[in-house]
Amino acid sequence: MAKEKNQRKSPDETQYQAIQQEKEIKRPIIQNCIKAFFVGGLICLIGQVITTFYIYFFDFTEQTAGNPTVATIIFITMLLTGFGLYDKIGQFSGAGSAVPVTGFGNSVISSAIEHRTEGFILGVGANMFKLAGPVIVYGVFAAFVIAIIKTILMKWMGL
Amino acid sequence: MIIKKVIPISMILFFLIGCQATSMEQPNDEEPSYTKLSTQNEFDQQLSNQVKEYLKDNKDLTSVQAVNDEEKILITFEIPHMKRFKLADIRKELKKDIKEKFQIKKVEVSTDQKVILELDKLEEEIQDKSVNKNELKKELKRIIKLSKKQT
Amino acid sequence: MIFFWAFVVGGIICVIGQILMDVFKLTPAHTLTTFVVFGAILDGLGLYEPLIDFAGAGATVPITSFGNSLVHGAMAEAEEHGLIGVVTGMFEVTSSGISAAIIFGVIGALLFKPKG
Repeated sequence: MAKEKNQRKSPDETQYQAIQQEKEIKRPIIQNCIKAFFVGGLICLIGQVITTFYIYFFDFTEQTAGNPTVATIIFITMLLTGFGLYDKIGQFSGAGSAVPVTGFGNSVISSAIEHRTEGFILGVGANMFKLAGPVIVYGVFAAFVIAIIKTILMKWMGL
Repeated sequence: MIIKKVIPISMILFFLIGCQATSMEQPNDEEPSYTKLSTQNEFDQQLSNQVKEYLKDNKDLTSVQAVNDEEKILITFEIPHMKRFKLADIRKELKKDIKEKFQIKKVEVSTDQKVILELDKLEEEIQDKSVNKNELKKELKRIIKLSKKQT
Repeated sequence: MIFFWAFVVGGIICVIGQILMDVFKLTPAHTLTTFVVFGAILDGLGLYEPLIDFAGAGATVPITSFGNSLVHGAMAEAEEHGLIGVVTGMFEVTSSGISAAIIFGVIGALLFKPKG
């Protein structure tokens, strides 16, 4: 059905598409990039401050401070998402708040909150990774392939 | 449309090149800072002092810390920030260099901020003579273990 | 110094994300997936660790570090146990991001009501 619809376009439809293309708002790319730069940079700066805090006041090294830092940032994300502030930041900054782990955390937490009405098992539990799932799936698979290649190269080719 | 694609990319490029240029303008010709530890101690830090003296000529470093006990030595150092891309290589080379030069079997090298802090504290304690032989050995072992932690 | 470079490098990575979204018209999910895969590739080539040494959280906070630590965990385990380690060691280093997201996701669902 859908295919047929696409193939047979009525004159009205082609006209509509032309108008739509004409009227489509041009994305202000440079402005968006500047916003993304500052918001993204700021989030990383906050991350660095938290990392330094863990190094100086707790028993974490540069290597091990990464984990508590990520956990802390995601905790802050939970609060911001819960109060509806993260969406506002996201609208303003685009990739600036989506690319850091906070974006990952936000997508998990917001789908968890959103589907709460459908119950905790089928709602929260099943939908939590709806948006973040592909990131984990392809991240893990890509890492698997790369690690296999690297191991083979190192162990059997003696590189 | 093409111009719109080019501008942000070229902006990034300019930015990166700009940073590169400024870094080249400031050569670092100061000697690394270090504390010479007293040798009249319960625990002889002669070796550490020698290592520091030797590393003094290394223009790559901005500061050096080292503490030893009778079988192993832990060296930490800092480098100018722009050289941190090569940090792992510098660390490896320095370790090899010290091992060959001083004929020590167990050389541990770290550049971790936490390890530097802890070793600095230990150096101060040695200076104040507030640690005894056993405590120093224990503390050194703990710091080395800390520097090797992965997760 | 590290704070400055964390800001700049983190910002640049986000700008690259913005360009992927605006110029190449990728959805956020596609962008993030691309970034994770890209981070894994960079670590495979041994280029991500120097970036972390240089920029600290500027390299560990963006989602690219997720791919980096997946490969890292896998490689560390592979050195000890061979090829099977690649499968078992995958989440050794990464777990904190995912477990934190799950835990705070459930807590968030308990605490907050959906808006609108």
